[in-house]
Amino acid sequence: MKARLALMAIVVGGCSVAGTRSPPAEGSPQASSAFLSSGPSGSAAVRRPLPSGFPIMPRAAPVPMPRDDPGLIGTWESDQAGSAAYDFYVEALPAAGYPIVGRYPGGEVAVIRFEVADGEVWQMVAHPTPEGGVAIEIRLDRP
Amino acid sequence: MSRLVRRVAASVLLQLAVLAIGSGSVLATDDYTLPFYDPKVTMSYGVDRDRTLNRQLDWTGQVWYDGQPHWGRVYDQHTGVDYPMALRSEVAAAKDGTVVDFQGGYGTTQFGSFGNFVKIRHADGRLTLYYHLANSAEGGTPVWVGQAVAAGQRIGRSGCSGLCYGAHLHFELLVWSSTANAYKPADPLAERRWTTWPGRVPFDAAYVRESNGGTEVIRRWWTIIHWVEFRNTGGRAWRYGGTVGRTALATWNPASHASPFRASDWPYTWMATLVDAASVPPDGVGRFTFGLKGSPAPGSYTETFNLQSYGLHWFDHQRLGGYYIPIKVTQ
Repeated sequence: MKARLALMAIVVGGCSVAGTRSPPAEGSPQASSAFLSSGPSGSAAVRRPLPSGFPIMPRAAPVPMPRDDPGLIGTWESDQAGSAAYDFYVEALPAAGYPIVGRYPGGEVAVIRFEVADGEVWQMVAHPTPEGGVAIEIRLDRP
Repeated sequence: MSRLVRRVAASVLLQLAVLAIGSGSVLATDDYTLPFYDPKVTMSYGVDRDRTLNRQLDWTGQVWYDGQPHWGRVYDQHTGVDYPMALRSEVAAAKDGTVVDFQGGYGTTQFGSFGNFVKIRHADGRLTLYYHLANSAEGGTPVWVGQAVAAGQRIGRSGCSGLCYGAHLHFELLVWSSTANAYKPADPLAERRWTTWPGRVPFDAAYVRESNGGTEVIRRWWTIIHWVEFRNTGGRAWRYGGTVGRTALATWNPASHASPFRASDWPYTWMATLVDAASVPPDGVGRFTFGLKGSPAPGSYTETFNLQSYGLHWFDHQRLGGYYIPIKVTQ
């Protein structure tokens, strides 16, 4: 009965291209400096960097970011269930010093709004990939 | 002259009709209520009223052309309303009806497919669906097909079964479409169907006043009359009569304990009284009048009370201000 968003991953993330995954962060649930400096293909000057030590879901692999979406800060994919991403960030964000200001779980998408330095609000967005996994985005806040 | 009068009258009637529709205040008491008991629960996403891919019409009437999720509003192609709820939170029937289908065999957090759900048919011909519930073994779907359920009755517990990105309840309202010869999703928010806009849980109340806000002093074996008033901040009318769903003031902490202060007017040892008025609509104030008998030995006591919809559900005692009566029994 519920509608499926098979194409949503492509539309929303613009990055769910099979075969483009980078190696996952080896056993580390935090962003490494190597990952940050290597920078996916869309690292334009306006794109905000991911803070060092930002929590990244285990077994999630970074994927390239489109150049035309400067609000996107980082994106990953995983073959885990969508609820795993939501549950991970509900725990990990406050633990890493990022207070959550809003939780929005759903059937085919989840948004967690959280505070970074100086009271700025970012979002974690999780949605399905065409392969049946979950795509995770860290992005600037939007309505 | 008569034509002018008719035109003026028609204009006035038209303006009144526009006002009535626009204000959203013309709401039927005991229409659909929110399908849970915690009034602090807020919506994650509403219905996408535009079935076009990558174009969303949210419940406020705003159109989005980006296919992106918009928290508190909508995500593309969404057919229901999502409410974040902790695992195994109570889920209630939004209106009187009959259970016509349910599934309770998935794991509470098992990903994929529909997951556990309950489907209820209502007298107005509509269906309501409650998705992503907990497993039956965990109280997820304590219902059976053909079971009559009352508005506000617990019909399940929330989970994250099926296609689920974080524990939540997906509530869906379906309306029969004769043109499509099928049920189609309706938007309960856009239709303002929650009894009192922007939505009420079935049972909720706030303390207003009582006959004696201090300590009741009762001479041993004597009976005094006490009354207390609460405002109906829920979505269901409070009723004196009927069977299930009557609104009663009963002992609390522990629930339904036999009270040593029971007077002869109490219906049960644990129930002080039903609501005085035949009906108290949402936003109305209901009075509960009952006797307190000084049966225990002289001393100082407290007796705690809570409201309940008889046979259906207790109210949230904290939201009643933790209501209790200090009592002093004298010789």
